[in-house]
Amino acid sequence: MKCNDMEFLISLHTDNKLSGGELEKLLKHFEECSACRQTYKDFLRIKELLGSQKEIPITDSFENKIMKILKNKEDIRTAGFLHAIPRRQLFILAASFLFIVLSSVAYLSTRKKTVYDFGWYYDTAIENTEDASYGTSDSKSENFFLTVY
Amino acid sequence: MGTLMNDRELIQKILAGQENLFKLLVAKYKDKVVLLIYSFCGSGCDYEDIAQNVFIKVFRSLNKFRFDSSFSTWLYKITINESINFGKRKNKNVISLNEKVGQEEDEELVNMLPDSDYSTEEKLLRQETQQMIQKAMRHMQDNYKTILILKDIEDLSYDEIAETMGISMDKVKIWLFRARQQLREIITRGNLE
Repeated sequence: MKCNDMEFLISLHTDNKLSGGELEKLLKHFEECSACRQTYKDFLRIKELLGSQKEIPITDSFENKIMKILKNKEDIRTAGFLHAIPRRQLFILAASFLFIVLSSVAYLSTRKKTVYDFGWYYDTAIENTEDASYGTSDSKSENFFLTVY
Repeated sequence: MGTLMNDRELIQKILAGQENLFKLLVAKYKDKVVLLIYSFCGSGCDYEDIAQNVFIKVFRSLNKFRFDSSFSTWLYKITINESINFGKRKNKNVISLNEKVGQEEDEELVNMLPDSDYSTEEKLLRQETQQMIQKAMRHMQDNYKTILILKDIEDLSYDEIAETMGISMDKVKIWLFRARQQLREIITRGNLE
């Protein structure tokens, strides 16, 4: 096999990913080819040098700093509740809330109208009780109920 | 308590309202994130600032994380994108191999060398080679640089690399080979050895 075909196997061998026939083939090639042996050595050296980088110094309070930034930006408040809800569900939630509010307003305005209607009955009832001289009670409300029901 | 929790539990609790637990995620991954950024951008960048942006981004999009992959893979993706974007903004890719490294940069690079039992001469040689590799990596294509960092610095498996980079296993093998070949060529061309 040519060196060009071997180089790909050399990279795999650097990560110990070769086994069986392929490994045998490569090791046999190494015996005859000093250039590929050198490539393997170089790949190993690069791997070793890159892998030996130790931890990069970082501020001790790094995580506290992040939390402070997030709090300042009020991300925490939103992320905990509204931010956690998917947009579609949030839209449904907002629409439901709007529906409840509008329904409540509509209901209250209807109720107000009913009170006015009762006011008409109330006036009529008063007139009727005065004419018919129902009972002895002075209370208008009592007369009203007596008349209506 | 927090250290016993796995990432999934932690994230679910954070999303459920215990936002302060995010601190545990940061503590767990900060070193890996910083190392990844440093490997990408070199000592010339404010790696801590970039790491800060990464974690803020992660927090903001935590609700989009669907647990289809591991959290670390997702975090690496965000870190790589942020590092690449930083590189583009700073246009760091036009530095010559023959350029002299500044004193400040030298010191920082020396700081990150491993503490070992090497002799002084060996240490110096090692430092020099490591500096050259760092500089040579700046000349590599982003995808090759990424794969080399993930494999040889972050020590990820082929599977994890494939997931992080969104490529097939075969591509991981081919790109790793090409990355090593490219780095070797750059070093040789620059008479680094």
